[in-house]
Amino acid sequence: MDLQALCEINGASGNEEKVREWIQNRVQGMADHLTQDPVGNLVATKRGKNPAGKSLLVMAHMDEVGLMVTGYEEDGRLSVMPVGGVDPRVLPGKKVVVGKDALPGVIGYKAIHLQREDFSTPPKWENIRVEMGFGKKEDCKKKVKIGDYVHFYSPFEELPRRFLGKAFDDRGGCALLIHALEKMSPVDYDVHFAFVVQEEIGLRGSGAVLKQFRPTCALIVEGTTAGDNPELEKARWSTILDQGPAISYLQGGYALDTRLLDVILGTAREHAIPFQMKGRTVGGTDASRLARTYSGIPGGGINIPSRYIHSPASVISKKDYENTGKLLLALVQNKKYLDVMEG
Amino acid sequence: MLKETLQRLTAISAPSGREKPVQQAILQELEGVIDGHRLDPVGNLVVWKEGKGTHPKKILLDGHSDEIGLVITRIDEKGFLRVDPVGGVNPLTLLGTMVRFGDYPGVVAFEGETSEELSKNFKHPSYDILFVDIGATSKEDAENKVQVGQFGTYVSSFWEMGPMWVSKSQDDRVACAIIIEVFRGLKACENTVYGVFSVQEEVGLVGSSVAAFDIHPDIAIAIDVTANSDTPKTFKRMDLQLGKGPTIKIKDRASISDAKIVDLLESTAKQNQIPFQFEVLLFGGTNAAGYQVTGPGIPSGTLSIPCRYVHSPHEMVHQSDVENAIRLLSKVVARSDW
Amino acid sequence: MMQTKTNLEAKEMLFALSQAFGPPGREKAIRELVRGFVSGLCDQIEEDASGNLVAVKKGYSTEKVMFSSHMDEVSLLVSRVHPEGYLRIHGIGVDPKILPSQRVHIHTRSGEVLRGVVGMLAPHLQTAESRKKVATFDDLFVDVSMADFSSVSVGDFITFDSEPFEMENVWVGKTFDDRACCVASILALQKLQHVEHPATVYAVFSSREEIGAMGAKTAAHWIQPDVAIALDATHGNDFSPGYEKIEVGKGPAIGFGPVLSPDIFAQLQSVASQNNIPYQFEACPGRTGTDADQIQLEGIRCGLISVPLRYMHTPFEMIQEKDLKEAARLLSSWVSQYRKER
Repeated sequence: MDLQALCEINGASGNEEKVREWIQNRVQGMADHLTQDPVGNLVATKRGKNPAGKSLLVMAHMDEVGLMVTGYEEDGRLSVMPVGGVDPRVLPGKKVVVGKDALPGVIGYKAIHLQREDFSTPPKWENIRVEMGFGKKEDCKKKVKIGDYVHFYSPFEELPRRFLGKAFDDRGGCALLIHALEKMSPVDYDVHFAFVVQEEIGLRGSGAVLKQFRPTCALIVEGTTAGDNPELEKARWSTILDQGPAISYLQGGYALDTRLLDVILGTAREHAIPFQMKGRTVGGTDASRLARTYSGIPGGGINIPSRYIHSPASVISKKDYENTGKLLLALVQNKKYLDVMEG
Repeated sequence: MLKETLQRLTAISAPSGREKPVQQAILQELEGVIDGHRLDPVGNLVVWKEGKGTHPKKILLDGHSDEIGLVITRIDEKGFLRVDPVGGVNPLTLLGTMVRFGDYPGVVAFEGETSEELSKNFKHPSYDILFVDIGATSKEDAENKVQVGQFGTYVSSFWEMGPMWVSKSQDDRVACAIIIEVFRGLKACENTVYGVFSVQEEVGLVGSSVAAFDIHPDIAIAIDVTANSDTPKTFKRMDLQLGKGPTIKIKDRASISDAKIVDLLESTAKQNQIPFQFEVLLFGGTNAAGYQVTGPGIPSGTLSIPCRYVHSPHEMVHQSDVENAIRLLSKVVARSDW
Repeated sequence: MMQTKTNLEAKEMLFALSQAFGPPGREKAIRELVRGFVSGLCDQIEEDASGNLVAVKKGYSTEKVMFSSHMDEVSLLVSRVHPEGYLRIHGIGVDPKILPSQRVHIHTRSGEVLRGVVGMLAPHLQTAESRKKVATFDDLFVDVSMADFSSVSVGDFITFDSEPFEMENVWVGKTFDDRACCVASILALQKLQHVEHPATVYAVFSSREEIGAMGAKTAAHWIQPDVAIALDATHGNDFSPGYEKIEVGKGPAIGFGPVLSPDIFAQLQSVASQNNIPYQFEACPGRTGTDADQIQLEGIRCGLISVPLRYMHTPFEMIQEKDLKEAARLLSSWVSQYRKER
């Protein structure tokens, strides 16, 4: 299944090559036109029957958060720094894979028996070390370079009501884009399905897509944080699993276009797709980048609620995943989404 | 005329992302004094008057049409509203304040199950511990009146206090009013003047990052409010006085004004005996930052109106600063000797 | 009229640039010096709307390469003038802790340069408590009472009063970040005089890097090169916890990370090896803090060559001539062989 294959590929920001290759092979026969730009974005275009200059840009990002090797210890361990937003507290006691050959490593942590005052100190980047079993720096240097990427080791699991794995943010979005591209019926306008790079380190890839064409408007499909657990007051939950795709109206750096928001809500109601409004307005998506690039592209956003994002053990609801896919497909085929841009 | 225009514009509720109502009012004010207008893809209102000269320069004046506000994120079981800020709204300024969502006003209050907790919440306020009470009798009652995702603003009035004008959203309706007055006063102008009533400045200079891309102006001047240092024990490192003239911004957190713009504003002010101040703002940013990096670059700067209590429901400006800003900009757009 | 000798020495150029005044957005003096240093080395010199200075040297093929080093320096700004001759200040990239007892220059709008000292209460008058306090901009002031200061106003820029000099085998002075790389770029242009290179070269001396690389962004936009390289200073000999140390004197650092093109990284590595240029690795897991960040956002593949530098953003930044020259050699060698991949 697409989601499983995509989530299991290792592709942190700047290292999306394998994700892109996989997607390229997968959509080869489906798109009328396939391009890759200099920064690594992949765009699959489905030509419209009668575009008259109108096009829709649908977007998901290929990159996930990860780590990068930045130094060696004398005893052969590695120091690492985050690529994207990784909380160091999710790292102790986890298995990772290092470099292009995905060599195994573990992020060890001092045994509890040996801790004193440091029992109450949280893990910090300066203390996080990857153990690969080399006893000495020289041996490690033969197999690992500074700059090598380190990814979470996180096999995908399908469970009765949930999917468990890494990188639902935003391979979930990528998988749904592929699904929409495959299943969509012909429409008048061009639809560009853009799989972009480096969202996690500051929305760095998406703007370059606009060098190729100027779409009428955009729709971003993301994995977004849930927070629906007993440690957070209900009033502060962002999204709740099983309540359907989460719709964004305000986020970091952008108030999503009000006309597009109305069409998204209307479409969900029309097709009886359950949905929820996002409960928090923090965090940004590529919509914030597109609105600020060249002449500006207005955008809307739909999101797959995802627990424990940016960690090795992320959880999403099967129902939510399917319903987000349904909503995406309905929107891609809804010409109202572009028509509201006029007048 | 200026005061009435400002009164009308500041009364309208139009936070970032919901600027249409104020843009409509601005267009009404501009009737008969512009050659054309359009809305760009992200919603900036762009108006213009063609220059009569043989080699007209293109001058862009920007005032952002959005104000700060709130958005409803949740309606609880009893009908109280949870909110998030739209732009920089300090939770402290919300305590006990009246806000409005559509036709429904609401009072903002803080939580506190004990005196200690309440005290802690005063010391470290956040959106987690506040809510809005619209007087709903139940969740259903609230849902009939407002909805999650609805945007709102402060409730306020317009007061004239001596030489001061006080209301919500002087930031940045005072700039919109200034630009309207400049257009009203434009006679046979050599240069082509663009007025951009931009969107979503308060959530991150969105509109100004794209508004000029297809205009290609020779220069861009953003007009916005700035802080003040003339009230008791306020920022000791800055020097901004109400009533001493509009300020020519040198630097804020988002940009350093182009030397060309600073020189142009200074020389025009001096030539016409218009009072002005130089401004270094230790925080904040304006739309000039967006214009500066548009495309191949546009020489840009900011002319500011000193303002007390910025981002509160009662922002205070000095009438003469606003009038002098209009005079200064009117003279600037008329010049072609640069 | 500036000198137009085509082969000025690195030290001469660097020391002249170091002493000149050029905060972000006010790089005029640097522009004029650089213009003098590069005229004769290129076919065209342009100053764009952002204040970037771009020297263009044509190649024999259709490729376009851009390399960017920034002209602006970290500095201070007058935010308030007290009538007794004290200035309140604000910093652009400056750590307030290095300021007490520093001598500074205040550049007024009339062109007059005033002398000032950053004041600090003498030890005799301090209390046990005030001795423990860390200086912040709110506590500091500049004393300009030494002479007539009536020409000073809010918004005047202030730079360190610091003259570059040589000691042992290092050079020290202000603003080697990034004028050392401006010099490396100019040396590269000197070398390219004797080489037939395919690509047309855009040597960008950028403005406003210290406040977000705004100059490089607009330059990349209108030049639209096929590839670019940013040149900046990086921390040498100072230890960044968790990072492998880069050392002054061990050669330029080549950057690697998501913002930087892996292709250009590989090319630079290979060019360095072929030409016996010593180099070091610099891992950049996120933004690089250089012109590369903005160039990449314009959709252009960008690489990073850095000169190791100690005591960054202080009046006495330290580099070794060798690193500067090897950076220039690496750059010119890469440029002379660059062709678009087929």
